[in-house]
Amino acid sequence: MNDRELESRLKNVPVPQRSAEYWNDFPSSVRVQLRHPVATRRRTVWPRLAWAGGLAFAGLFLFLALWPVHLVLKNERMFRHQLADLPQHLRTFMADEHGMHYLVADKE
Amino acid sequence: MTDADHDLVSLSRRGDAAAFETLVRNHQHMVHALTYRMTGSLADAEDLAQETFIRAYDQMGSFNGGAKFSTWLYSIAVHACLNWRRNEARRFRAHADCAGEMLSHPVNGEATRDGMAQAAQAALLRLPAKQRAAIVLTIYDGLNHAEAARVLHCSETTVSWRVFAAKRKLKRWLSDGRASS
Repeated sequence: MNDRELESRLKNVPVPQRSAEYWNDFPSSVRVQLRHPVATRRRTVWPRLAWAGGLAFAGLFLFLALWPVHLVLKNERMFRHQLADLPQHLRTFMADEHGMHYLVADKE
Repeated sequence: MTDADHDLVSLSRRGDAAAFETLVRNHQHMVHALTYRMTGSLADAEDLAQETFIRAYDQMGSFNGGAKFSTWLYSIAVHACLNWRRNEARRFRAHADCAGEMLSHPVNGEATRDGMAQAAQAALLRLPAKQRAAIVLTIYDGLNHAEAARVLHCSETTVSWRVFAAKRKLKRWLSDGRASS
């Protein structure tokens, strides 16, 4: 098969015909999409919403995870401040189901 | 670019949707034919034709008027098809399988003209997308290699090579009438 035969054979492949109605309506269908680019809007809005939702969840997670740590540190600072006034006493930190406590006892 | 296209492009740039609709009407057959030959599917060809014109409208500001409007439009359409190929790799494989199946039935002397056309279309679909684009532009649309290179954003040598490689494969497949990779 030479080039000419190949080209002739390829050119004999028809493009399926569409109705006159289709060709008449197609430009309008494109024009409608120019006015209402729904697909584009979907493409731009949904990722933003997903990012916003993800960030909100991450913020909530961090808040819930770090809040107890904050309370413990706050308690510890308070304990240390009070214990500094009692340098001659034995001090022990204790944690139970009610939270952080400390014990103060006289040194023997 | 014809004077008519030039005026319509100018109006479209100013947001005149009716002028753009006329541009679509003038070039819709050409774009549909190209997207059909690139995909082998009427439905996908229609989607890609729509995408081509919507992109063209969005990018109208980047059209410098130095080239023909149709060449610029070809470029958008071809790249939409090439991107579609990347996004639809699974579907591409399905088309390739289908094409292989069609080619696996040898075309004998009694084969109808339709059968031969089907085999040629199947062979076209089996080509790598960039080689198919080179064949569609140069054989079906009559662009020379320099014009095709501008459309495909590559060198003229690359186009020549793609056309050469594609023709070699097509000749082998269509002569054998058998699927071979």
